Amino acid sequence: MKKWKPTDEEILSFLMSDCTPELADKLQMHMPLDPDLKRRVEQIGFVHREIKTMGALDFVAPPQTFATIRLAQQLAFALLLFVAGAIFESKLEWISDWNHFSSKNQIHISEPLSWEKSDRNTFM
Amino acid sequence: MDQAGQQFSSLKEGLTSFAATLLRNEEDAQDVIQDVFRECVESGRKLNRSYLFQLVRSRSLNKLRAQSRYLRAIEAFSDFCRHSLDLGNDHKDSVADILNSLPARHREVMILRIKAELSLSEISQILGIPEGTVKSRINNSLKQLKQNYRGQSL
Repeated sequence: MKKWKPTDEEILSFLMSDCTPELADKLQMHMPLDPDLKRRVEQIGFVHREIKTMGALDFVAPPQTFATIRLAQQLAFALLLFVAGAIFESKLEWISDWNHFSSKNQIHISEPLSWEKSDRNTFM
Repeated sequence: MDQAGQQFSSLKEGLTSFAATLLRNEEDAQDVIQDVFRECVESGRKLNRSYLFQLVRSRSLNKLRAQSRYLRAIEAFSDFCRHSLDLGNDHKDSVADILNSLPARHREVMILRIKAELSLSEISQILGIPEGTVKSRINNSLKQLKQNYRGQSL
């Protein structure tokens, strides 16, 4: 028999008893034969039970976690800004370098001045 | 208590959980629930379940908008940090911790589906997204919740 793999959402619907009767039958038929499917149903069942028993205010993150997160996020944000600034600045420098000295000019600069090579007297 | 009040009481836990998930603040969540309760009682008639959740959502989002931009930026960045940099997940010892570390759009879908026991079509109506998106968000959330618990005894 071809292995059938329902989605996690379908398993959750089955556990919440609001799936179609066909899906429920199929799951009940496959579960005893497929240990992996059985394990997935148990895992999702556990998550479902845990969320169901959570109090309304458990959905507010604990303050200690938030304090740590805030500190970390502010540091990360500062670091990001610094990196972005550094990149922007280096880009600006690069653009201005490019405008002032084209590659042609740079070759000229690296070469010895022409009067040193040949016609020194013209400048004298 | 009239019909509207009774209906509200039966849904109060789900509604409060939903508001707390969106606002991440106990007092703000209670304020929103209080406002919605007043509106519900004043109307005097039984309101649609989805409509009540929509009301809670819009009130919560209005409250978030009223907060300073800086705070909202911090919250958004906090979500980003928790999700992508895996910060704040130092002690994943309960489903609540893992759930609270999920992005807001995944959290709200999970609360509506499991805690408030709403159907996929109701969630899709409340959030204004297609049912397929609701399903994929549930799948992604469950995947993460399961991954985090892979090593633990179930």
